Amino acid sequence: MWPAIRADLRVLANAFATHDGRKALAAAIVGTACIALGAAALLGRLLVARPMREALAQGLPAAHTIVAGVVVFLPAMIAAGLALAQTRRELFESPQATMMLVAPIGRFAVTVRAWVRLSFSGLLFALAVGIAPLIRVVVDADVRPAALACFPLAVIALAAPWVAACMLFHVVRARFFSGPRVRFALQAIGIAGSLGLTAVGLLGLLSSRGQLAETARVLLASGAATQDVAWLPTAWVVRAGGGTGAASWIAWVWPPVATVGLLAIASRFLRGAYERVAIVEPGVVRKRMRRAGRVWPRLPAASIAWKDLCSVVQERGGIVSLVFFFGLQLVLMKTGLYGRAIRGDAVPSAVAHAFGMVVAMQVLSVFLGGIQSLSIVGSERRQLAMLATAPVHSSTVLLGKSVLVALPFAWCAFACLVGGPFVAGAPWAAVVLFVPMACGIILANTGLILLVGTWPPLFSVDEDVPIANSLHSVVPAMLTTVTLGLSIGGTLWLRGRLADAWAFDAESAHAQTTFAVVAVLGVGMVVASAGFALGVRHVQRVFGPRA
Amino acid sequence: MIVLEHLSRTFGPTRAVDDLSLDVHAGELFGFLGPNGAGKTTTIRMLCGLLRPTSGTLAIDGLRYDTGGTRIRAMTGLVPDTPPLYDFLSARQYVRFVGSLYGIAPAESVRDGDALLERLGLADRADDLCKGYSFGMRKKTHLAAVLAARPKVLFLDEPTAGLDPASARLFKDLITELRDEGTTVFVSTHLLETAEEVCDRVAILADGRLRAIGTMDELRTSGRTSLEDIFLALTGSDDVAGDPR
Repeated sequence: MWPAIRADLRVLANAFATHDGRKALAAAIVGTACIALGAAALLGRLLVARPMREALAQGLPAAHTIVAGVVVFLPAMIAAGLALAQTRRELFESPQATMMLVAPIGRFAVTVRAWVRLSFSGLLFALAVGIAPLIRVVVDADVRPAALACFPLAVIALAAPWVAACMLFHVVRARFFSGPRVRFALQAIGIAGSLGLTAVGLLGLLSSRGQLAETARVLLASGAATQDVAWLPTAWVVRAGGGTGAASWIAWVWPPVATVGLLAIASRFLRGAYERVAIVEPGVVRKRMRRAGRVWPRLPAASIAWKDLCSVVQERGGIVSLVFFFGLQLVLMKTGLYGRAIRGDAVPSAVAHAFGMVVAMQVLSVFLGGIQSLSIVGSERRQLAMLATAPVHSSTVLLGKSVLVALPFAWCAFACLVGGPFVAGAPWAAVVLFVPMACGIILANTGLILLVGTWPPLFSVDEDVPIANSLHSVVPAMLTTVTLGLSIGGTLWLRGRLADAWAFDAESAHAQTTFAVVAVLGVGMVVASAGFALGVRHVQRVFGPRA
Repeated sequence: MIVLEHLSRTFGPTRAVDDLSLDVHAGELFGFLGPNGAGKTTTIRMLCGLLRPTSGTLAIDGLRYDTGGTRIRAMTGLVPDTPPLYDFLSARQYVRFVGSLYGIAPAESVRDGDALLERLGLADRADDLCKGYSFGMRKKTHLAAVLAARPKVLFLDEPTAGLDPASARLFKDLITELRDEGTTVFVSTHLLETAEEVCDRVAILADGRLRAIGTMDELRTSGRTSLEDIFLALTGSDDVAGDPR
């Protein structure tokens, strides 16, 4: 076990010694810092809201417990989530996995090595996410700095068994449930779970300001005892931070015991699971396409777009994701967000609903933007040499790729188009106003992603590294998310201006509404053109001979 | 057809290709030999316009990348050592896709692609997604796609590496036929028997420098009879592999 772990540490040490390694580490640090700042902004807004500060200042034990729970559990869950995404590759698919299994070392050692690797990368990221809001709580809410020292230990203690549990889940799944139907079902649940939880969680976080403080008051009023969480490491963070409540030593004992136990069970089934993954599953992925390729577009741009559409349709997860996003969009149209957009003021119902549909579409677009920003590099990185040596212009390639980029946004618009009249009760006139605005937003989003997603450094990531794991991806993903987020503000501002117009001068408001709709479409066209033009220059740099 | 003049490429302090000059005639099957790390792949990348030379010039059919890049690309095809397939396309779809990039008419793409897939033993798996293909199948699929685009100049980087003997034989037969039909074939390999068997001329590269160039008969004038002897004498390398066949 130790030689393998020492080798991993050597790899890390070597990274500091080379130019490329230092560059990768710098990118990792910048990326993690960006995420931490984002987390600080989101969690800080929630935890350091005035009611929460007051509850902490009053020394309410429930308030301390809730804050500690959020700042510790969230990073632990993030670490486990990252581990879950990487477990299959780490255990079964990496070249080292095979080497470890044929080496004369025990199965438990193989499992522990994988656990160390998975925990290490996940925890670094998770700690960066969690520490920023905690610092804000310490600075703003009169919590003792000792909580900061206790925080990493608590996160590690909580994340360790979770990561082990994720590994056990993968091993047991591969060993006993490797049939195609089970895998398809799990894939669907995984996509729905990861995308849905993130989207709903973010929305909940943004709209629940002050709710934690209220929960703390309710808990205190109902006499809920902090004794109940004494067995959790968070109880020690509370104590270190100056809060009251019981903390038991058992909190530091059960996590390592549970981790070892889970890893021992996982190692028991590891070889069988590997056999199923390496021998059975590759055969199962075979899927026959009837008469596939008989019809194919002639123009290169259409051919690239058609190729992408075929890939989406033929990848099971692609269809699942589209169905899921359709459903999620309909759910969003039933939330308070949509309700706020159609609140009663002087704006006619059709206009209010049209803007409600646009905002609903934009909210999901913010979430999609982060994913879509990597769609071009994700689908073409390995084929770069083939595309670069083909006799097609960069603009042709980008034009073809724009269909894949625009598709999810157009799909959300379609869901709004259906959901507006049938779910949210929008009048048909709202649909007429919505369509040009939706086209403008699809164009703008696509233009932004054509620009950001072709950023040349994205294509310099090693082919063996999944692009989503490369922290090069953080910059474009965050840039896209923030820009799309700000665009919601633009829509709400426009809606506000129209509300004023309808309140004070209904006659000119008609013209202003028409102008607003045309303006959204026009802005979309301008952004799309600019994004495309700059994206073409990016692609030329990517395809051109490297200096 | 291919002319390299004093071509060099450095990566930091490493000189991957050093003052390489050679020419490859039209319709010639040219072997580019060298041990691992000799600079073969770097040279092919420069020939395909993926990498800019640090110094020197290269021209293909009289055209240079800085002025006629698209025209060069229209007449060349690259089969890299790692086949660049899309996992969620079938082999037939992939062949159609590559054909469309090279401006091949759909009917011709269908006809030639299907014939090539048949020839390469992929006909009964041509509608399966590439995700489930073995390495050899992936390599054959990409070769079929590139050949269906009818390049005048074909660059092959380690074409038989990772293939079973039957597939390697098929590859060699195919490139020989292509040469007979007038295609210029530039094969980079470190498998000496492959080169000895099929190439009209070979160049031997070591440490980025050209050590020898000529037909097998010309290289044998030094008294050594096999390419392996010549190769070892010129490169001082033990890093040679036998043909998988």
